[in-house]
Amino acid sequence: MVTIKKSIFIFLGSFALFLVLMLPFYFFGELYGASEFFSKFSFLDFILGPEWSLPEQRYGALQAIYGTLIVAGLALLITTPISITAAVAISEFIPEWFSERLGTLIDMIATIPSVVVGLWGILSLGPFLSNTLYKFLVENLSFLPIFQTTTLTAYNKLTAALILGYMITPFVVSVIKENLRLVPIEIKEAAYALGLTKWETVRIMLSYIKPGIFAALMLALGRAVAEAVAVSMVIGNTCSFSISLLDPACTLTTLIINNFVEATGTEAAALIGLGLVLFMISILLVLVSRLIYSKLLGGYMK
Amino acid sequence: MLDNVAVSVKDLHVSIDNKEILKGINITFPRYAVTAIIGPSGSGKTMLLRSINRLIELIPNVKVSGKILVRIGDKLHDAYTLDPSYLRQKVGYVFQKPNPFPHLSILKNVTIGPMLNGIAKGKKSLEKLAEEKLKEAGLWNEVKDRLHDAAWRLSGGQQQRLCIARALALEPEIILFDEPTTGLDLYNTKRIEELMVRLKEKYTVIAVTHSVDQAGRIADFIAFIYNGKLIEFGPAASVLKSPVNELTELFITGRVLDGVKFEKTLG
Amino acid sequence: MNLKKLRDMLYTGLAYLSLLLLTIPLVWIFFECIVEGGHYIISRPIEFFTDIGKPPGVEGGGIGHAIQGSLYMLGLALLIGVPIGIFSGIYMAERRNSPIAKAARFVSDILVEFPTILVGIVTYIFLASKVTGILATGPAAFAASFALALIITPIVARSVETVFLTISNDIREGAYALGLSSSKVIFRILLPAVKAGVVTAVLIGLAKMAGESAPIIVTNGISNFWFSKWTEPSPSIPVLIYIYGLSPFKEWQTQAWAASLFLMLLIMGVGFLARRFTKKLWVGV
Repeated sequence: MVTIKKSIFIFLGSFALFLVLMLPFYFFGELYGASEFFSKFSFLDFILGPEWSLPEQRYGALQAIYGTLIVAGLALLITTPISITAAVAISEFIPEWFSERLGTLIDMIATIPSVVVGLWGILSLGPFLSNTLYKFLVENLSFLPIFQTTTLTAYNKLTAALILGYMITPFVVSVIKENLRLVPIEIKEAAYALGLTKWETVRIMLSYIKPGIFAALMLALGRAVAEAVAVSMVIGNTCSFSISLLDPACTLTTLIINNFVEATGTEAAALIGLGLVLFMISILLVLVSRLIYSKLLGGYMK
Repeated sequence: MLDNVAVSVKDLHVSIDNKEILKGINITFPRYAVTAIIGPSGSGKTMLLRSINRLIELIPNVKVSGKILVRIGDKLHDAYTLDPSYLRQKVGYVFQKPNPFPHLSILKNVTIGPMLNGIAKGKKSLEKLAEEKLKEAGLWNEVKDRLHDAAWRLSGGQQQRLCIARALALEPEIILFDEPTTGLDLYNTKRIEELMVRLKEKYTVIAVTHSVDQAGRIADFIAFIYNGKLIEFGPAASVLKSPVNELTELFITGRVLDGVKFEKTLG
Repeated sequence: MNLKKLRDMLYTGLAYLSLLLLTIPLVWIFFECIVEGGHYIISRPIEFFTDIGKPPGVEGGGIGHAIQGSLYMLGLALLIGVPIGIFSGIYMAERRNSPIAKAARFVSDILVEFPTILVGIVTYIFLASKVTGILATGPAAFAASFALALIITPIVARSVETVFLTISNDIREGAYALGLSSSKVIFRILLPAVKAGVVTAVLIGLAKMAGESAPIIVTNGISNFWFSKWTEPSPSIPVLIYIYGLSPFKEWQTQAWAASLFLMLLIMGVGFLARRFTKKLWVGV
């Protein structure tokens, strides 16, 4: 009897073990695939290499890293104020019957496939912005280097960041909503008893859940960095170090998605090397987010 | 006579979800004195307290009628026509369970009220205010070296004194205490009781308490509330020694504890 | 005092504005899908679902090949990923304090946030790549299925774990008290008790997987023909939207909207089913 009892858990446990091994498997897969490239070039030269040029056989990742950080960082900048105010509005200001519906509506944004968001970006949003906002920026604010461009197109860093910001917002909203729900009623009462207004009370609640918000934003940044298809459809796919938000760029994921299947030899290995960089950024962000959250749970929220 | 009035409650009715909790309360709380509100649990003591600074309005489906006059400076104001934010700054509240903002520093807990309400400005003057108020609340010596620690690291009794300092920081006229020593050890209970007595020199203190003994230790006046009605009100000594009402006597002699037994005893 | 009120009103206004900002694109996307795509579907209600895509410049065409390809790909992915997910999820719940369960929980939390494009790359390297892959087929449909399976596994595992943790210990102890073996307790008593929850877990995974395009593109490449072999590239709905959307041809762009409408309705349908099952779960247990 004892052996039968145990054998089922050995059976189930082997699947769990498989799950555990998936992460190292991914890591070694990346290393293995990129090994051909890194046998010739050092990792440092790769990530600091300023140019990605197929004809010249030069594979430097710096432009792609630059593009990734600018676009994902800008997306985070866009989503932060919007998702915080939206979450506060839904959980504190709107009557319950309506806020539930609104919550569902915002959750619906998360279910739109990224390729559909990309389609909207390339066919609707991009052309619309280039005739309105971008035109305005170039005509009136081009004394700022971030709005200078020689040829204005609909597909650039700003379009990519706007789309990315939109895609990660529902996730951030739902985490902040959840966190706000967990603020003890005593905290709210204490704030009101000090004569604070509703928004001042909200301000104290937000500071109470600050670590939770930060953790959510780190995860959201990770999602923005990892997003491939939608970004590749609207970013213009031209690698450069241009500081202008209205110039096209490339990112780690767009180079991979545009070239991986046809690539062979060194190019393929170099693309996998880009994947390795993406891997490290993603894991770092997830771990930072978890660290913040576990610290929170060990502190005043336990 | 009127100069002695801090809060005047007239025909106060409160109902929650159409259930009447307070059934026409008339009471006048004297200025610069400690008034203890006693009564069995569920009698409506806390609701009376919360009506005074309108914290009661946070409860969903609540209905309040009647009139409450609150002294601010030389004048009596109708609490329910004042801006609630202003009223609550002038009528402080200390809760049953210590509820400092756990994530903020000890210092910030005291200064956040004056800061957000725009009463005091500047780092220096805020810090001075915090020191003064922490001293007033009898917490300064214990925390002066760790003002930037988060408040959740304090013990329960220290947290409660921090909450008192936080209320004092707004320079209120009246401070409401809602069973502030519940769950605290004897040492902290004693310190907070002494504090309440000391506070009446500058403020008017109204305290709900579950313990008749505590009322005897701290109060100048005692109000006994039962089943949403004021049964007896008077100087502490006379209420405790020679209560006029039979219900009061039953309660303060500890022969009955809750409402159900009252009905039976009288039955 | 008035300044305070004014500031409160300003913030409230901003809050409503941000909600509006979030709703506009959603409505806009649906509007385009329905107006551009819906119109196309209605004009060719049968052809759209059964026919293959036509070359640019030729009138008409459908997404039948992509629907078929997606069904094959998602079907195989479910077949591989769901059992692994369910079994490891059960282990994580029923042996919750064992080192493997703890490690699995930690890893799956990371994997849920893991870039799906990387899962595609690694699958390609090990299975399909002509240089390093075991099967050395080059871009192929089976590789896409494997990648999707690996993506769905941690999602299913985590949800199944949560579902099993909702079972009260009384039920577990009651079952063991009958002298039943662990396998009977798990598969005859516990699993049937939370059937609806497990179905929900699978549906949530399916909804996430059905919209994925990046892992398909890096493993399967791009194809606009009927599904032929597992070892050849296959079309799929998301990738069809990708290539049609990037093309300069108006007919293709219109069909991309139509395919988007179909895909979103599909995903929303799966999500709706998942919610229905969740409700059942709470009534059932």
